[in-house]
Amino acid sequence: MKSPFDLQDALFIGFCATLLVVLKSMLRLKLGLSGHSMFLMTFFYLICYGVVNRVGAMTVCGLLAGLVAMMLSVGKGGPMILLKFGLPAMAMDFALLFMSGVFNLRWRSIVLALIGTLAWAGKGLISNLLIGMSGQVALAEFGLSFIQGGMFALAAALLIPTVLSRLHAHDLLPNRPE
Amino acid sequence: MKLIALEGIHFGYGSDQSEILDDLTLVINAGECHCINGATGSGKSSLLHLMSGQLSRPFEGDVYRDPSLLIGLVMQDPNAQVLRQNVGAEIAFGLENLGVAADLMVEKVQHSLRRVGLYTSLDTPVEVLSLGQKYRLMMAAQLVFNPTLLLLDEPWAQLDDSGVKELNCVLKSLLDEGVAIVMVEHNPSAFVDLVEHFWLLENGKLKAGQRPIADSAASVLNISASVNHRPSKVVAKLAPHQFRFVDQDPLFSCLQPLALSSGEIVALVGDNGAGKSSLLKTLAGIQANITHLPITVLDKRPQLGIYGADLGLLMQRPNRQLFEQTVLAELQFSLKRFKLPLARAEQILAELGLQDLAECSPHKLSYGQQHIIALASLVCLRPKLLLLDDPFAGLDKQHVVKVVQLLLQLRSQGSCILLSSHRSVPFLEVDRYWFIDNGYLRDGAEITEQANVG
Repeated sequence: MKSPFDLQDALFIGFCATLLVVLKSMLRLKLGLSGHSMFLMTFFYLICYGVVNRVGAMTVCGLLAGLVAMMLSVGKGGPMILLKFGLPAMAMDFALLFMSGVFNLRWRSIVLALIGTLAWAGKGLISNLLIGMSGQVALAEFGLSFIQGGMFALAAALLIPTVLSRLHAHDLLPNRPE
Repeated sequence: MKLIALEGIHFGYGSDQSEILDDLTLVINAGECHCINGATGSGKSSLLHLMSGQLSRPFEGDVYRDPSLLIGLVMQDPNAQVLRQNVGAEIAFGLENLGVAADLMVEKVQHSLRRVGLYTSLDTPVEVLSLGQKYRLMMAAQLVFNPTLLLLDEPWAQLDDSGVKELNCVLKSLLDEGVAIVMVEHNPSAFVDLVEHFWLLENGKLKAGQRPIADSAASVLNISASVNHRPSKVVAKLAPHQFRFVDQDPLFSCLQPLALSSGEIVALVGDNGAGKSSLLKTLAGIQANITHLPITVLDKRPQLGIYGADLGLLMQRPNRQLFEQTVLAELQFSLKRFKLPLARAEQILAELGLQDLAECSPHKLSYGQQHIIALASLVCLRPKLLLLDDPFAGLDKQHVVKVVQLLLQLRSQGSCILLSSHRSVPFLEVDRYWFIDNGYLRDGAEITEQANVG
């Protein structure tokens, strides 16, 4: 029986996780726009899913990226950074269990990106509630984060079919992404 | 002794494409020399990769490998297997992996270099070697660990005549030592004295081939221009100069002024490393690290990006200039850019009989197919000056015929074509030869005149 992940898959997931953290730490974008981190995160998670084509790839990538970020002290979250990277990935993988083969790649990417953003904004909501923010304000903050993060995630998701078809054309993917 | 045996091999590049190896069977014994011929894109290189265990895609069938089997593989594009930055380290790489003691390596590496006729220092950076020299380097890198089976992909196309002669000697000594050799070759006549088993790979199966007549490659093709042409306007001028890279010795000297005119085909012939590719890149204005030279192309000093559709350059490694997702899109890219009729792309594919490749990815094609697609993408622009670096490498006779017809047609339309080759091109009616020989670039006509006077 074929193992769930082979060496090639593991190397690719590791590559995506490292590149995600390295780009995030190198660019240190001070755009003043909340949610822009969802662009890189969504892009790399979805590329991981498209290339490896196995449920769990995004979770592994997210947790790995969180571990790398934690070790390199990227971001301001401390150990919580693991959750920041891991939670959207786990949510996307969980959603994938129910929607595999339902939509085409473009729509699947968009839905997964929005679910990832929901998890990402949800993490913020819980943090805000824990520090004592009023429910109304926390919910408004959650909605705002979801909209802002969702826009960046959507932009990343729209790139996925093009990037995957280019990878397939260069013989880097065995099957045509659908 | 049986070294490797393939039985009932089925292999294809995708469920939507037909199998390129279909129930293929082959047995290689120690000391045997096999030569596999076949059309461009018929699966010859894939077969070598399968034998070497490099094929990452799944295949069906049984492969027996003797425990003593140690395989050396030299690929068609040696750049694809270069790993290290200098010559010595590249050759020693195999020895390092086999755990050979460091103090024994230098002697083995030097012996291996001499064996393939590459007389260069161990510290020489690999990037300064020409493609033919890199091919020799990869030969040395494989021979250094004494393989029991040597797989060679298109050696004739990448080597000059002296390289082929040296390779014949090396292969003969290897066969005498009991090493088995399998080569994939469009011109088996160059190795006719060594090869015992000739095969033709056709429709995925190996069929016993006929022993070729020596030097038959040129005589089979007899193509002549249908339209008379007359060279007219000068498109490139080369004043006497010394061709050198910055802070380096001259690569060659040009003592007489040379010119290229519209409506002519000129073949630039020289050995591996003579400077052919560098000269072509200089004419196209893309050669870096070169001294200022008295060269004008289309009345301008060559510079990147100033010629548009008027100048085309086919590189020796065609995959360097392919980037689109389908062959048709590749051909249409420059046509769109220069606002030329897109119908030319389909027209040229039809002329080459390659319509079935139109929707294929150019990156998944064989070396020969990539070469012809890259060439077609330039020819459909109908440039005033077309520079072709070894355009016939990796092409079978049928494709050579088509390319020659394409070039003759282009010439009749007034384009000037300068093509480089390791040897003369008897199957193409060229107007003149330029030779790079013993460090001098000369016009062939001048050499002939001198010989006649003598």
